[in-house]
Amino acid sequence: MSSVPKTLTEAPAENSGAGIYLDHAATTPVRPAVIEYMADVMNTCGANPSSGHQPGQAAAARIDQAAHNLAALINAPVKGIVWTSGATEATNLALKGVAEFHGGGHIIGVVSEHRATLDTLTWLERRGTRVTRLGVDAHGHIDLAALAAAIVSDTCCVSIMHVNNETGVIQDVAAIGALCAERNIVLHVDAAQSLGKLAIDVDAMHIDLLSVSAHKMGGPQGAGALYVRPRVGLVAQIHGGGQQHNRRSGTLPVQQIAGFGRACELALGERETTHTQVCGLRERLWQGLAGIDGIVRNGAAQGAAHILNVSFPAVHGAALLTGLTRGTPALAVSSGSACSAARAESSYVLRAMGRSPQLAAAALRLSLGRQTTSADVDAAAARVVAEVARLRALAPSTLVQPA
Amino acid sequence: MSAVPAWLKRFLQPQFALAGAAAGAVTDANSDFGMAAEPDPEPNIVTATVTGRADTPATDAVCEIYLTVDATRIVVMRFAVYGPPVVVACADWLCEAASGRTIAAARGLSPQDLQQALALSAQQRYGALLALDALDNALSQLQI
Repeated sequence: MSSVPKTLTEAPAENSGAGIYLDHAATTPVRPAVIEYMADVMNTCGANPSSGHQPGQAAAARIDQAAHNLAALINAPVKGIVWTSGATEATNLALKGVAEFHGGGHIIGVVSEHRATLDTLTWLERRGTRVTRLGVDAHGHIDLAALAAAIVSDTCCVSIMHVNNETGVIQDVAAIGALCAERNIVLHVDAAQSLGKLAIDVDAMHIDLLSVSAHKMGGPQGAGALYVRPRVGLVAQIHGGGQQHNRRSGTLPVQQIAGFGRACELALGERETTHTQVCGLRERLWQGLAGIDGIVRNGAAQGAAHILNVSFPAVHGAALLTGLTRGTPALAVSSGSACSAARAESSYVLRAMGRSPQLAAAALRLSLGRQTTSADVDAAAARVVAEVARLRALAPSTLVQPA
Repeated sequence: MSAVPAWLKRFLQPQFALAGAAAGAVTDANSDFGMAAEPDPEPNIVTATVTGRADTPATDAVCEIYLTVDATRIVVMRFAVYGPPVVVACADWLCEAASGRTIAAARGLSPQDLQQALALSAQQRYGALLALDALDNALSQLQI
């Protein structure tokens, strides 16, 4: 079996060498051990896990194992795991399911959430659910007092992301959970960026619903889950077949879920070591960039270890991205969220944090993984420094303020 | 490797080369900026030089169009852009398409023309609109 490449092997034609992958917040390479495990599952478990015969039960056993692994990673009861196609579906199920159970009601979200949450809330709003979107401060954090003040008599759910996918900002989920538990309000947490990276304890943090994704932590794309605390009211959104106790119908993709479970198992044993390693590399990367004139770090140093978001005044992020993705070594990085790029807008997350549209458009997200090396980080920093200098030297003074 | 889309090919042409080398009629261009040479119109027939400007609602991209016109046609048209490469490609294509045309014909250029010529996706169509808005803004300043 071929091993997972550490670097990009299919670099643009203009490049003479391989690139450096620093887009782990978008997706992580599937870990070799996960691939091996999935291959074994595909070779040995070809039956439908809902079938009562022996091959079917062998497949079901792999899914049970995966549920145990995920549950152990978040300190949850195994029966609370509902498999989905990813965090987006999990979030849709959580928010739509709770709103339908409560007949609409009132939901509180945050302006800097992922589009999976924001767009679902907008969808619900059009159908009668009242939505309050909390703002964030310059560091990307919500104000607990503002959350408490936003709660009304029919507030049925608070939805918040644990780690922001653009900036790495970490919300104080434990404090938010305590508030929600005190007011008897369901708390949904989008943990797509934090699963396997930060400690998550759904009991201690009073989390009722937790959306997670496999491909953000070394598992395969196409697998995710929603943790549902027992006795939390939730109406199913996908019907037909009655799988997963009618909470989410559809034949389960055994090898995907098994791979997710294997990734959870690996993460549980390595989380603290990996966190220390990646955190050190991120600071090394920051030190390599900090000398750039006018550079702004978006999000605090205390944010998630794997994400560094920076803005370079007088350099457009999309232009910088185009330059960095070509040349040698090519960098696989992001200029924030793909959603914002598609809408021809600068990052709504950064603008919510008070950044000007120009500074938000000048952002670059570099996200590291467990395979990232010091050499990768040093080479990436050197390329960014050179590219920013080159673009600034050519920038039109009539349109761009100097850094 | 997937095919390079037309807008990116245009952006990557020599005058916008990421190596930074300038070539042709464009004297100073890069991935977030394309600035024209000083207009060099034919002597004795120039009647006006105007500048048009447009930006996106979030002002994360700005396009300026510089026009030199005689009584009926655009003698030379150049641009400066701060923004994504697709905007540079659109402004560059528009300058090439409009230069030498009558003002009426330039007014007739549409987003569909750019979309088709540069194979823009629906999400990139804003680049065409931005360049055309800047041109429209420039033309609106002409007393013709």
